[in-house]
Amino acid sequence: MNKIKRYGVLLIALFCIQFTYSQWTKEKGKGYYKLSAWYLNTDQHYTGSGDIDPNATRSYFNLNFYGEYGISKKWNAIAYIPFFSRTTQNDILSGTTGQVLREGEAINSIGDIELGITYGILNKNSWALSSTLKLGIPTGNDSGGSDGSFQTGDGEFNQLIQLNLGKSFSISNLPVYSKLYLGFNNRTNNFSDEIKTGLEIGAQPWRDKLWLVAKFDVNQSLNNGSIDATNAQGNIFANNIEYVNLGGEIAYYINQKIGISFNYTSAISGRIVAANPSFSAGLFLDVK
Amino acid sequence: MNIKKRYWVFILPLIIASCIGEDIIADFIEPELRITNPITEIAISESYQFDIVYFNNIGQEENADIDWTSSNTSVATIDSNGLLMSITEGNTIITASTTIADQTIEESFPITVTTEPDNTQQPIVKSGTIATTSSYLLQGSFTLSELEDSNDLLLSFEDDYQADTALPGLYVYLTNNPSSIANAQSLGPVNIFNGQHQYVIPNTGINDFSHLLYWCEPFSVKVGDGTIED
Repeated sequence: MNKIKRYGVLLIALFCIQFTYSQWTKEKGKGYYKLSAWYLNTDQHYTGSGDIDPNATRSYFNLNFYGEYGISKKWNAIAYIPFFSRTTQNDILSGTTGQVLREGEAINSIGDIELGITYGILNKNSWALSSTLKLGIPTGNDSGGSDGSFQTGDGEFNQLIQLNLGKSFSISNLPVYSKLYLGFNNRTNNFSDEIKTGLEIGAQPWRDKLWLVAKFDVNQSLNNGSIDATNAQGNIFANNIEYVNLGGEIAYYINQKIGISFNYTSAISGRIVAANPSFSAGLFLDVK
Repeated sequence: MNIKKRYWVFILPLIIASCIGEDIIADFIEPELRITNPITEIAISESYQFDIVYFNNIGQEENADIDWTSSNTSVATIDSNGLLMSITEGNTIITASTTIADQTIEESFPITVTTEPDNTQQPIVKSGTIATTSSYLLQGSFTLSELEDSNDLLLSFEDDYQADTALPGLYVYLTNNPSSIANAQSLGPVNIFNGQHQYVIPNTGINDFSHLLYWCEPFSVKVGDGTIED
């Protein structure tokens, strides 16, 4: 696997954050489904020392489906399917002569699929506790483009186990929820494992119509993977990635079930990760 | 506007934005004339053909009309093709020049005509120091030397060499433009990140390039460089 080049796909994984506007597991037969377009255009990155350096402009785009379905009162199935992913890099032009020094590139493919299951441990009064197991299936292209770095997948099967704690409450009669999560991501192919944690707060200033959500996410590498530049034979890798993300989402219910959403997420610090914001827009179906 | 139309209003700008755009890099350098087979001494009544290359303002080799002159034609003359003819003992300055876009570029060097020229052909050795131009660690000193009885070069790094292992896809190049890998010669991916190591560079002249360039391939960005000094 040392020959496999992994960089861009990790950017995608970091910024594709899903919001479901609640903490609670879905009742049997209920669900939340969203079709989204996600976009990241990056011309700078956080280096290994946490500084920001420039890079050639790359863009990552995908069309994805996200769904949560209530199998039973306590069990929910989760799926994230980036069914179309596109990675591009700009042409590099001489500022002196205007000639193309390096042709841009683009690849299209399916991305890495995530499948998971959530179990509702506790749902009492305004509190909810659940656990999630999410599997990262390496269905994407992990070595696209002329140098192999145009990936839409990382070629690595990872398993994330996560505990979610939520509470609903109200502020000035506005429905509000907050969610705290803590997860361990077991990564294969000599990549370092990761601790993931975060906080999400959502409020409904316009009852049954509008959700405003803010999210704070942290990814901390355990630095226990052996892959790095010294053993990757000069090929591209991205291990021991770390970031602190801030994100926000606005969701507007067109009717009781259907709505549209917009998301903005950006890393405010990190290591070996894009230092530009990502955007997404989606159409969702909320079957309550 | 129905839901489908609204959805495409949101999606379309994102699709358009994912098209391939253009990045422009600042890659201007001063144009240069370079003698690739210099000598400093020649015997009386000998001839020597100089090879000269014009590098344009992005370090790219380009054809140019060269004017050759000798400051002391009683000692040596030089024709329009760069062929030197020595006449008698003494010193002269040889100048090559070209004018492109109203800019005149010159290269001058001294020649001594002597009865006993130093004909011991020692391999030329150049040296330099690499330094980071980014946030990534890169440092060290190096020598670039001709290998005897071959057209190859040996690039040797000293004990003080260090490169960042966190950087994805680090490559090293020989180049005439320290801001660009266009027209550069790749020495391949960096596999050694600390201490002494060497590269054998086949079929390359010691005067063919002016800089070492460290480049991150996936980011397409310069990491550091070092001037190859005489």
